[in-house]
Amino acid sequence: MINYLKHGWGLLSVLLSLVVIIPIFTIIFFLITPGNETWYHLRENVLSSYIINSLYLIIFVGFGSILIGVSTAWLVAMHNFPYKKYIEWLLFMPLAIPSYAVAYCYADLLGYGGFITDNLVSIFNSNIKSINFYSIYGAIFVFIFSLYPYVYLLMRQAFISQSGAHIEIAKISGLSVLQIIKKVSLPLSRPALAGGVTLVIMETLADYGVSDYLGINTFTKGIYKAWFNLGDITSAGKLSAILLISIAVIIAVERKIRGKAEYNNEVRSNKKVPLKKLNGVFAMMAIIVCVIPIFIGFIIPVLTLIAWSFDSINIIYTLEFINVTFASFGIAISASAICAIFALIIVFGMRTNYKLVAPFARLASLGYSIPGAVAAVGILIPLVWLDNTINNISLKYFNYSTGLLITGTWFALLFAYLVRFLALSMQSIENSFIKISKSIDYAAKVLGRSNRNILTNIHVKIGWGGISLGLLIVFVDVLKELPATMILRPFGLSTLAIKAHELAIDERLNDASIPLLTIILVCLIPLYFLTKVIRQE
Amino acid sequence: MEINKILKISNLSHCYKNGKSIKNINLDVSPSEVVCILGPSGCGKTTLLRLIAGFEEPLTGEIKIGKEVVFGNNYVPTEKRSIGMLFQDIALFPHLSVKENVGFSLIKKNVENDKLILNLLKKVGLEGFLDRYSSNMSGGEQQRVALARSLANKPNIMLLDEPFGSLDAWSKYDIAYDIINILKESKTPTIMVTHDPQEAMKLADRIIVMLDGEIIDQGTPSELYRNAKHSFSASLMGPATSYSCDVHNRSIMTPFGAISIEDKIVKSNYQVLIRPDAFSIASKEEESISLKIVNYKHIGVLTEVEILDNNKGDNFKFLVYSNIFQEIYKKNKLSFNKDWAFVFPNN
Repeated sequence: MINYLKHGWGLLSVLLSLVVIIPIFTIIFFLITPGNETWYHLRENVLSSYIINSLYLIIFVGFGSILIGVSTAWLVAMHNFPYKKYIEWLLFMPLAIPSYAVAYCYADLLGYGGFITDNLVSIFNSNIKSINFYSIYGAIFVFIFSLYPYVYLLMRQAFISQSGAHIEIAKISGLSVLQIIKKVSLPLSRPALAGGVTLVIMETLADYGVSDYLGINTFTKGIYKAWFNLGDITSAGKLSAILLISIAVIIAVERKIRGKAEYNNEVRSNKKVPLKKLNGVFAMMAIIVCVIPIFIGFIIPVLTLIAWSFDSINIIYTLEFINVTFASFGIAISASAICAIFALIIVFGMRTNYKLVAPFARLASLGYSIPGAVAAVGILIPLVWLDNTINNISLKYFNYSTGLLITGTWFALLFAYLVRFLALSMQSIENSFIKISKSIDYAAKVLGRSNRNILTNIHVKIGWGGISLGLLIVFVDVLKELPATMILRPFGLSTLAIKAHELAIDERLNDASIPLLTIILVCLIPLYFLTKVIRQE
Repeated sequence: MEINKILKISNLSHCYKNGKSIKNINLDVSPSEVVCILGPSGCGKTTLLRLIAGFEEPLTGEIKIGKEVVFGNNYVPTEKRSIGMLFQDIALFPHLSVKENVGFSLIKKNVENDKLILNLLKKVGLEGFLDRYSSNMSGGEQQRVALARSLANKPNIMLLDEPFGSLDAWSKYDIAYDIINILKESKTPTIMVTHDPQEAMKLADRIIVMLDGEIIDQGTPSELYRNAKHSFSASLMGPATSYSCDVHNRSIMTPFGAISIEDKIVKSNYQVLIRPDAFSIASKEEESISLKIVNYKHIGVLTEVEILDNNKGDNFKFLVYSNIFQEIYKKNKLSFNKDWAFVFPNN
């Protein structure tokens, strides 16, 4: 006897997960649809440059972030040196600054008459008047220094959680320090390395702001152009499909690399890896290695923005800035609330019926790896179709044109954020629900409570920490988001990120600094919690 | 009221995707009765409990609580089955006080319910704990609160899932006896799952032994100790030494003498379990068995003795009670009571 009511939660969770997967299916559909004139033109003329640029970016940014992320993580996790306490969490700080803000800063600092080039000229009497930052090299520089924290974050954790016993066995077996790193530490942390680099690559591929500002042809920019400048759905869809497939391949490679190693790493022993104390020159070198990325990725951009802001501080009092800030915060709050509600239902659904819900939930969390521009296209296409259908029906039966009802509304934009950021919300809620024993659910059940009641009266209350962290993370990400917002925003809506980008493109960097600093200030809040967790370890 | 306090399970079967299953379970529990389901991990005992609670749906069969069929030709969801449950990890709601935990199933907040909560806490000996939280209570105290919380819901049956497994060994039985007594007083039929035979023998009126998803044996603790139907339950229920013995002329040749077979079908090999109760100090010369003791080792009240087997020429071991061992050691003789040797055909 199947009782459908009993499976109600599970079915609702599956339904919500399916809603989130719609854009992915839309995009995949474009792999098989025939191309049109524009697409053939694009394919002949620009596709190769997109691919080459993206490959360049992936390879150099990948290696650069490994170099910085692994070396700093290794120094911090395995050694003791002066000021490590501060360096340890300052290394995360670049995560608070959107990559595009870093790009604006360095393009200016290194440009003609910029602060750095000016001083180079006067100090070294050099002939360099400017460094051309508007190139793929500039982009690589920006991505490395704003994204290396992903590698650092995961590798640091991996190094710390490595069992001291493994290292001691290696030492007893007579391996040198380098051999230990090569044969023990790195293989054990390989899954973390793969995970970190994958995040870096995904962020790089998803970027719109940096490549648009520095004038590099990348996929996201191509998608945006195909949609707005050429008005061509097919091309935008096909470019999105190629990008999506590339990302799927990258994720598959990561999973492959991670393989069973993930479980092997679970072998825990209480024996911590003994920290090596660094003194004198070595301590100095360690500090320098760690401080360089902190300066380039965080301190210099923030100081630059602050310097710019002195000339435009009055912007804060303008009605436009207030409006934009309100709109940004409003949309970020709504998006994080919607994500939290979906995530709560899906995660709780997994708890009540894991076998049914888990596969769909995992699919739904793939949305996080879809670049914003791709998600936007994946949402627009079905919405346009829906609008047209409604319009046709209305015309046919009521002789009334409804126009575009849904496309270009808040609904479309919020939907895109849901697709992109649901996974973040789900992850932090899942992490907090996992700590609630299954017996708690059973106890409440036998005491006469329904599933809905258990979720709202027990899980939401016990897991409030995780839920609010999820809200915060989504809030921050929505605030920074650029490509999906650019494509889907309702007419007249501007966010802090869009405003800053438009001002930067117009070379009004002083004015752009205020919205950027606002974003950074808000981004510092979740980072504060992250560092708190780290200091508690 | 009491007519509701009966559990009847008929032909219950369940199957997991991994091939594990429970097969054709029949079980009746009457008011005040404490039934322990005993078995190794993975034998299906917890699954059985989850099926009764309604956390999972059986494949076939019927579950009846009181007069109501809760699974079978009718379906009643967990929250309407009037079940009380205690868990190994206790599962008090960490965000609620003791008072709120106990009152969890009481929808209305009124003086009457406040009184009920207080009475229940008195019953479990924790009347001063109203405003405490589980984080600053011992495991035993928490389990008592959990009992009060279950009783507030006026359960028709109680399900105990290894509830004493997480408690300290030295205080475990104090709490266990208290909880079982309170449940008996309230006439609630109780099913307790455990993998600890000693716990089952101490607390149960009736023990059900499960192996590979089937009930292989059941009876009171002393019935199972004296007269188990399965070698597994016989060895669970108390100390015994096991021998593999061949058959000659319808007699099983044990190291301590032949045991004749009464069954019609005779197998070629039998497993013989001998409890230490079988051995006593030899009183009459004609009934005594001579031994060559090679080695011995005291294990508390029992002593493991290694002797030389005259027939086969190699050594074997058996268990005797320590208090009679010195005498046996001195005389190198003992007498053997066949009633304490249990034979099970080997397949």
